[in-house]
Amino acid sequence: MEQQTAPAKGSRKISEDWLAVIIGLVLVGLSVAGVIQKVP
Amino acid sequence: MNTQGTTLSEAGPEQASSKELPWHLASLILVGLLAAAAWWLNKTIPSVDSRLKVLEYPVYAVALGLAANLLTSLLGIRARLALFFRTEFFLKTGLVLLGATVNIAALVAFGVRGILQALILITGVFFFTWWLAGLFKIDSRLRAVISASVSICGVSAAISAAGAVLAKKEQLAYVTGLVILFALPLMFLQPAAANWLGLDQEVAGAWIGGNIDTTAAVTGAGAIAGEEALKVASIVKMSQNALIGVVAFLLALYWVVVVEKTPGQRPSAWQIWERFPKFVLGFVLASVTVSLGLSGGWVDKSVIKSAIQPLRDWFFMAAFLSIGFGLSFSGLKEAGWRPILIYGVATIFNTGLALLAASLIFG
Repeated sequence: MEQQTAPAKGSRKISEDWLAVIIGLVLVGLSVAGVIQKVP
Repeated sequence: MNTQGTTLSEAGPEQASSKELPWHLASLILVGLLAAAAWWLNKTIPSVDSRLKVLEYPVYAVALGLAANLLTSLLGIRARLALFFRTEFFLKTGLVLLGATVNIAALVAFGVRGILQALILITGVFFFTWWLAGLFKIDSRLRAVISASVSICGVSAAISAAGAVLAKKEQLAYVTGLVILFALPLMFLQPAAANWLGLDQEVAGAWIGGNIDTTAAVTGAGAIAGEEALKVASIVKMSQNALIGVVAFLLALYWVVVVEKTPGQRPSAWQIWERFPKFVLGFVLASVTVSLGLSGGWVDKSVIKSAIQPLRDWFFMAAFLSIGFGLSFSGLKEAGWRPILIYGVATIFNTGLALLAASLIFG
């Protein structure tokens, strides 16, 4: 059966993209603020 | 090895039900345990024999992910444990953290050269692959997806191009398999080749970033080649990533206007934003913030080494584990040898052109 790529895929990708940006920036912020000081 | 036709970022089920909750918890614990094992191997093995320092954490992480893939496939529980093996999420979070370690001046300097190199490589490699696939009379949608993935950045470009030309899911899964098949060996071979050729860190990084298709494998190869090579490779790759939206838009336009010949219909400019990789914004924002903080004296430099770099490496480790765990050969079996040959020849062409461009622009 032939299926075409669903447009809905884009919306999940975008939310995962933004989640990565938010978590990354929060971790940078916590490190810069001195909350996270040392990671093994 | 698993035989499910899943793509890199699609290994996990989309929604959690209460029945599946224990499996999702087990998935989270498994990612944590495997990442800890990769970290321990990376720390312990070089102290046993210093020659083994060449094996950096991506090697252990991919190997452990593959081992977990094999074991859970044999036990028939791989799909249930797949939820937290999110290659793209871990990779993009790691790349935002990487941004915090890159000085904004270097970002601007390498970024401008990276865009120049990306324009040369995307144009050259896309049209070479398009022409080659035409010679072999490949289906036009598969032709577009292969050309975009070889010339831009593997899986993300394949997904964007597949969306732009409405490719079949099977074609997308197949190209995803090809991307990994070629990227994994290159992740180890290209840093070794750069070393053998005596390339300096900047040229080696630009070569790696311009040639290897997936961002994950670029990061892995860059990490093996060295810290400076990792930064340059990532910036160069991101310059290519940033052009995904433009290429997807042009492909969609070509499909609507030329292939499907629908007069008056145009894809919206929104597609450029929709397909633009958002982590690039996070990378730039992290780089600007920390660079300003360092020059203003309100960010302690030591925190980059003691916290941000190790956090970055943990996320990359989880991304490489997920690559190994999500690897599937089912799509490769179905489509025959012609696309494999095209992908291989296009990769060789890309390797040569990227070496030339990196030497001229970054040398």
